Amino acid sequence: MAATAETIQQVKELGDRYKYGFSTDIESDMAPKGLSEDIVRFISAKKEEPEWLLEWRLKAYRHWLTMPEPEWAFVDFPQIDYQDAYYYAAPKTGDKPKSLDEVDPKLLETYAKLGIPLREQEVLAGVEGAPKVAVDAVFDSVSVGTTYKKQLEAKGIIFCAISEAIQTHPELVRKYLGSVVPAADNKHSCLNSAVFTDGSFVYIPKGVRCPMELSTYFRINQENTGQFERTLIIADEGSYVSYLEGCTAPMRDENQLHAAVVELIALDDAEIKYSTVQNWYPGDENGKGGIYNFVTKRGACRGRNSKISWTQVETGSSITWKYPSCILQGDNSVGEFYSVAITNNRQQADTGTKMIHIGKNTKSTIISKGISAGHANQTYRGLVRIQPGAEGARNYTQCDSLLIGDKCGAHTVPYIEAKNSSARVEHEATTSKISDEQLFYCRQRGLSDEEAVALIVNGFCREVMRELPMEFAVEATKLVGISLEGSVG
Amino acid sequence: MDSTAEILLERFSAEADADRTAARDRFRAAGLPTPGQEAWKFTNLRPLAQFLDARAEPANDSTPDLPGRLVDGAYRVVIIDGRVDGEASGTGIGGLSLSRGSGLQSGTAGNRALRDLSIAMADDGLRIVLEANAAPAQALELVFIGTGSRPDGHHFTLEMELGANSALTVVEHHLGSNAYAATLATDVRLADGARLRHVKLQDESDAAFHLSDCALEIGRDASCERFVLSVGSRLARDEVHVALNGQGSSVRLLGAYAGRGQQHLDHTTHIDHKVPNTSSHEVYKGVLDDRSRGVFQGGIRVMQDAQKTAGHQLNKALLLSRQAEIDSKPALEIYADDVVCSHGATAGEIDEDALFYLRARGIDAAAAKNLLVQAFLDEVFDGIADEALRERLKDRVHDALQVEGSDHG
Repeated sequence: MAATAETIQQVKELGDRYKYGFSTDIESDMAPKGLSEDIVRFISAKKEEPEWLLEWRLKAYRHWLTMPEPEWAFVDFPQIDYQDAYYYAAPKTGDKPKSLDEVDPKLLETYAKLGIPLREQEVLAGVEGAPKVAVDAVFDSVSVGTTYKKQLEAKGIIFCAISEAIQTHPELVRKYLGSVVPAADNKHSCLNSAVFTDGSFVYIPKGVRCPMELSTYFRINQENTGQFERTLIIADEGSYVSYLEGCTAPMRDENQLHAAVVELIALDDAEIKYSTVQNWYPGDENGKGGIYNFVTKRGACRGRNSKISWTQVETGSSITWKYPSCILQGDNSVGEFYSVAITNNRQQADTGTKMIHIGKNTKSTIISKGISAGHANQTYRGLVRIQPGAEGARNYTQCDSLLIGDKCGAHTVPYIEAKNSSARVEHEATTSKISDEQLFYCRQRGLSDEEAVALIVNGFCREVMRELPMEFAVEATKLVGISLEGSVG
Repeated sequence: MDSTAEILLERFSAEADADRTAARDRFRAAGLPTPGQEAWKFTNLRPLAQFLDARAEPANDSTPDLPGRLVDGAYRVVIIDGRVDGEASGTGIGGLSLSRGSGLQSGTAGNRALRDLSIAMADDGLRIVLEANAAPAQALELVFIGTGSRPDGHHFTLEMELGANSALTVVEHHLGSNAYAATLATDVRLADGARLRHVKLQDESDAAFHLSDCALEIGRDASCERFVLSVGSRLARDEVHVALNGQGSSVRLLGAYAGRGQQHLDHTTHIDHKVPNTSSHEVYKGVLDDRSRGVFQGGIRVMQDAQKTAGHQLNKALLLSRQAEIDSKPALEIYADDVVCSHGATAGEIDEDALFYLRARGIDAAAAKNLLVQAFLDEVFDGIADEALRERLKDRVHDALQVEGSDHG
């Protein structure tokens, strides 16, 4: 609790609620404004991509033009002018950095401010007992540095920017790219397929247990840019990987678009744990500015006994539109979704998951905790589908919403489709507010209103928070307190 | 404009008033609902379109037998193929008056295709008015019989107006033979303190389509208890839209359904909590066998002013066959903070342990299965106050399930 109170204090001192709201003055190499086939070709050329990938991008772009905007989500925003944005922005560093030492020090400073010790990690590597996290940092559209490469390579693990993987491991990229989220899946993923610029690529070979957490930090810096990263994680037979993702952006008055695609593939007996702390700039109290976070995340449990687990803490973005999903193809495969979503002020979030049970004895668990405050609106939207062949499938869903203040909204839209009688599907949802008794109890013991709310909300979210890796859990707990600041009293 | 909607609108009367014309225009513009529309995601009306396109010969089964009363001593009105049979006026029930004629006001509807269709095309209708403070002991029973004499569809509108502090029991019994498409639009308005018990048995012919849309407006301290049992028809949709308009108002929606063969049974409900201190309670339970498909769509919306709302909904489905399917969408949309709302949904098969327990005590498999299915459904029936009615409805659903029980046991 003390930590939360302390963080709240620090943030107050900074004079603003969003502590990652600074921008870094770095010269950028940018594509001309707007979107056209030429821009797609430009991006592809910049990345020196093979012909097949350019074709794939162009096909996606042409299809994107024909797709209508999705309008079913409970979010409300003006039409996006896709021509009024830059689709490629890279920090100008001349040649590509050969190592972290050649990276623009200003960039490293930015990441240091964000609390991502890109360099320190290598220094600390020798310290016994210190948790090791390999980091891939993505600045605007380009991956700027990946740590711990050597140690990972020794185990045969590939962890690099996806643009690098396209050059060095084209066969893997070509085999799996778009195999979980096809280019034409939805409007936003289609745009991503056409203009994605970077992202992370992970391959864990057969039987390897990744010795450290892998992590990517995304940062939107440049004005008027969209960020379209593409992440591809492949866990080969019997392997295990835990992957962390964090995001921030500077405060800007206009809205910026972030349309990422994440694809996970787990083969026989493999396990992928994917954790996100999403803290994009949420806009100010009146809803001005902020990131549109339109993300498509999907994992395929292709192999027998495979497992994919999504954990997300969503506190940022002015609009979130995100449904990390699992396709449970392999027999006995397991899908999990743990989510905490906090919306305050004018934020809007429509988030949830899809669990598609195809294989026999597949299991899925969904725990979703939504907290809505201020004028925010939040929706849990989830699908559980039991296909006819999914003998013995099992799903348990629990989604709870907490309302703080009388101007906010919390909605639940679950879809449950059971096409096999041997399946068991259970769904529970509740919506309520923090009870006066709980608040009174905390205040009696000397906590301020805000501390009390942070404590109660962290308790409400505990089932999800405990799924997060240690490094993230601490940060996430602090974020909960900060995000709800100003929502009581 | 699709051809099926055109067939349904063929008999549109040239003398129709503005409300009906507006409803017709809306229906024509929107066309027959398709699964592309969110509200119709799980129910495809293509079988209805095919049935109408085929233009079946009218059946001449013109004098149908009347079923026994569901409520002893109820005053009965019979509606055959969308027309009131005989005179329905002086009921002799104190405070209750009935009049014929269709005339629901349209306009309120936002994408309520069934309602629009019924209003536009109703051949006849019934208006039921109960005076303030009247509380007749006698129930009103409406018997809807389909004979197949109008295969291009028959439509009816029903209007119920209950005065302040009045109380009434209304029973709807839908049945028939041969193939037909029946639609029904109902408007219920409960004034302050009024109480309505509404029981509906949907036992249409196995070849029939039953599409019903019921709108309930509930005033201050007024309450409605609605029970629906769906066993009949080939494709049925029972849509209920409730507006809790007055403080202290409440609604209870109970439903049971038993699907067999290729039946498609859809129950769609939407409850709007518009003012503080209102409550809603919803329980739907279904048993699905063979290749039948059940749909439950529940919506609870709590408006910003509607503090102190309690809203609960539950849908449980038992799947008896590998090909049966249940689709459930229990949605909550909440804009007020001082609320206690919940929903739950489950789907699964008969508990093997319970089955084993019964069989170990010498009960054969089919009987044990029946016993468990009945026990599963019976909970919902406990909400019906009239004992004789409750038993008759239970018998009806047990009968329906018994038939399949002996087939598949």
